[in-house]
Amino acid sequence: MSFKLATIGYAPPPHIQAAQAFMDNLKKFPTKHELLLFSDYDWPGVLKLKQSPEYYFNPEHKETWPHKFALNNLLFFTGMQLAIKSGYSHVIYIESDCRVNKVGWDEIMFNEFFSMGKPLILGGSVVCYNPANWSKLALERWHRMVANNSSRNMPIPTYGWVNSTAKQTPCVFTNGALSVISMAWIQEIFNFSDGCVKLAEHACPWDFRLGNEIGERFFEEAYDVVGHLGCVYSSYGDVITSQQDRQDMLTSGQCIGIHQVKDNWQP
Amino acid sequence: MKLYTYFNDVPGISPFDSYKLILLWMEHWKAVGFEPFVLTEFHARKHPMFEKFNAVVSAFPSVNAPEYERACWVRWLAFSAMGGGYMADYDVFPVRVNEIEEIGDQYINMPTHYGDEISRIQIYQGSCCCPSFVWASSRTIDELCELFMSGDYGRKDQDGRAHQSDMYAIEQLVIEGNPIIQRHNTVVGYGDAGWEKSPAVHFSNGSMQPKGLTPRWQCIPSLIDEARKL
Repeated sequence: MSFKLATIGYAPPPHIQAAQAFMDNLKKFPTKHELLLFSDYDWPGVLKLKQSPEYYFNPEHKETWPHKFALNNLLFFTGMQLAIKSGYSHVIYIESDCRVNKVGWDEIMFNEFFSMGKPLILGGSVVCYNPANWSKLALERWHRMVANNSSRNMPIPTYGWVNSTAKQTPCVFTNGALSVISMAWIQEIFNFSDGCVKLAEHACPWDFRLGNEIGERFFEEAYDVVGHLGCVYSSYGDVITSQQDRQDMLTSGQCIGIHQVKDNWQP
Repeated sequence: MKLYTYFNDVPGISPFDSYKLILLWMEHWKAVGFEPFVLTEFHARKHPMFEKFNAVVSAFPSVNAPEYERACWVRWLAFSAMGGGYMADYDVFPVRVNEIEEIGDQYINMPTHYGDEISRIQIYQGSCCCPSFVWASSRTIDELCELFMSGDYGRKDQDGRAHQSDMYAIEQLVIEGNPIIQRHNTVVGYGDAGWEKSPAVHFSNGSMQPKGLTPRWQCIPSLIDEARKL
């Protein structure tokens, strides 16, 4: 695999979720490396999909979806398939509710990712689940990771769904949007031979699934192959930070990229 | 002090065993006081010579996967871009801890001028000229890369197939008496005479696979434990 860096993401049609603000923002702050956007809409310079993702999972009929993350999963796996075909070794995955604030923001992310000097599968805003359900060593690794990052952009959100007596591998991953992803590992973990729709039907969000797959392979060492990047902040929901908080992180220069922005706001 | 290694994904090879081996390597070197650091092509691309060097070495013939062989050449640029220091393959492990600490101390606080040793590439697996563990200054690495780029070094055909490698280039420089290389016998290949008593051991795939010692990350800890008991 040759070493080739890129940013990849789905550009929704203009009537969906602040798509124009997303496109304008990327135009204002171009990437250093390749930017591969794909869409079912005719955006200039964007790869046009043969079939709309809505053909498989129609947002008007969510009751027909296998689960609520199916469309997002499909967009991700479509992006990964394009990344494989393009021969990228590492990609930054973006979604239309990401905003950036610096020319060459991708290089800043890649620089932080590779400057960690570790064999990373993922880099971004780390999330952990069930850190105390595998072993003492796994718990120590989680503790060290949280301690190392407590003074950086944001403490590492940690959740759990099993009780203290249950054995469960740690689940460590980065919030999907604004993650640096090793493509060798995408090909190692996911089987694309049955197509993206099949992969998308798996009943959990793709980033969470990556965390599970990493945990099942690396156990305690999962904390060593997922890296927390201080230059971006990506979250899901508004419990820990509000959209205003995230916007402030971007405009103050604390971060060069944020997720989620659910309206037309852009820096 | 930093100890660099270089990693690049090679098509057709699962990254799992490589990652497990690198993590084990990091743990063992950390335990003897080094700061292990994984270099990639991202670092090599920071070197001003990268475009030209990459074009030249990519055209060299190899019996191995092209990406594997290219990584062996390009790692030198990544190493130089980081300012030099120590670099090891991620299958070289410390065995005799006290001796390793002495090696670590050897080049700390070296003067910034270019004395005899500073201007030479220190090869620690000197018996076979294998650059599995080296020390070098950035300036000397660049000089070595210039020699590599000349294309005059490292050609050694294998079973009638054209092949050129950095290891053979170093071997050729030694045979020609070029003072840029200085050899030591601090690192010994696994299975070679006296490996158990060696400060560090190179657990290469070529020495482990024929003995069925795979995956290496699973086998190396017990081999080290046994050696340390002797």
